[in-house]
Amino acid sequence: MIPDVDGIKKMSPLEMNGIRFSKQHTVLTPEVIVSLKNPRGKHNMK
Amino acid sequence: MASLFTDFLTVLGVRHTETYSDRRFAQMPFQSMYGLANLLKEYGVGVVGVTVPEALRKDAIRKLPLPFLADTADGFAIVTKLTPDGHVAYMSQHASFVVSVAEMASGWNGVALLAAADSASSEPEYSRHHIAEMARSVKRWMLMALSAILVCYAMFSTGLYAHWSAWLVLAFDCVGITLSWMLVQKSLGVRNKAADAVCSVLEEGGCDELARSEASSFMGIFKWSEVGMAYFSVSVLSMLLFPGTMPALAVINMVCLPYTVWSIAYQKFKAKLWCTLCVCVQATLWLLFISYLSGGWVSGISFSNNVLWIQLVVLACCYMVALLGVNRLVSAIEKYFKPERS
Repeated sequence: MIPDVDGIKKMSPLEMNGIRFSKQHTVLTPEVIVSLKNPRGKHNMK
Repeated sequence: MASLFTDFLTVLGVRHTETYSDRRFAQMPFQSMYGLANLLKEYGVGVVGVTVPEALRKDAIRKLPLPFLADTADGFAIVTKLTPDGHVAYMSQHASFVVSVAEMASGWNGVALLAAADSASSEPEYSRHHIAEMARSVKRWMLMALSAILVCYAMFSTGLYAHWSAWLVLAFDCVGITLSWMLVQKSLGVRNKAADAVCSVLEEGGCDELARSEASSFMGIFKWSEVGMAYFSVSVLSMLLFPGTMPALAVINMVCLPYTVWSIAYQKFKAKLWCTLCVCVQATLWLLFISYLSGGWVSGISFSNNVLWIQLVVLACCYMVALLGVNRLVSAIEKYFKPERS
């Protein structure tokens, strides 16, 4: 199922469990997407 | 109510019902990408989590099977397709956007959940849940129809039908109830297509941001949306059951008007963000005032009349009881549905 993409790595269940859903979630408009290069401070809770 | 999970299922073409699937999403034991992957497997969807180094993300976006979930610092985006002109279409919070590959690559942190569904992928016990959801829809329409019949009966039996302004007040109160209900849903993170459509008029995402901000509640005790629900609901009931309270209702409406000034000023100068639903509620309060004024209900106010004062006190109690009830109900709903990302 993993496509042939350079550098792609499969995540372990532990790594996937580290990507948490946070309660605060803004609409990811194009402006927000671009600004995330320098994150505003909201993180996925680990 | 819809969530990231049901949006993803829709894009994958997996048969599901929003009610059941959103509940499963909210109740996942692991509120993480791992939990979501396990849930998708229950639906017969093959999943794998992958990471892509920064330098290779632009290439990966073009090659990863669509749709996939792309993780960002601010949440997941569902990448749905590549447009013919090389841009990326994605969904976030039930809204669709298009950005360039470079822009998506800059916001994406390289973590993705890939999924593969086939014709056998489906929500467990889908048929049973679908029938239940249809029954819920029928119940909703019946509620609206019977409520309309009762309202018309009340208007005719009390004689209010003869006052054109009373019909206006009734209409605006109903609009107020609808808008307040949409705001309550926003504060709970509940999806409502009509609310999303209204909210996008002045500023995309403005309603969501403000609904979750500190300014959306009165000293953290009551949400303004709950206050609106209580105010408009009690006003309608009072008008239909006790038409003699119309002058008192007009007084209370006038007392609410300064709040509209504060709300608009806050959005313009402090939050620098417009909540279309909130603006509509303020407009509704002013339209109600105009209706009371033009219908002669304001001129009927006499503060030397003890009956008016008694009505004001009783109405104040009714508003408070309704507000406490709505607040309790909303708190119970918030407590029942675990914190979720939608």
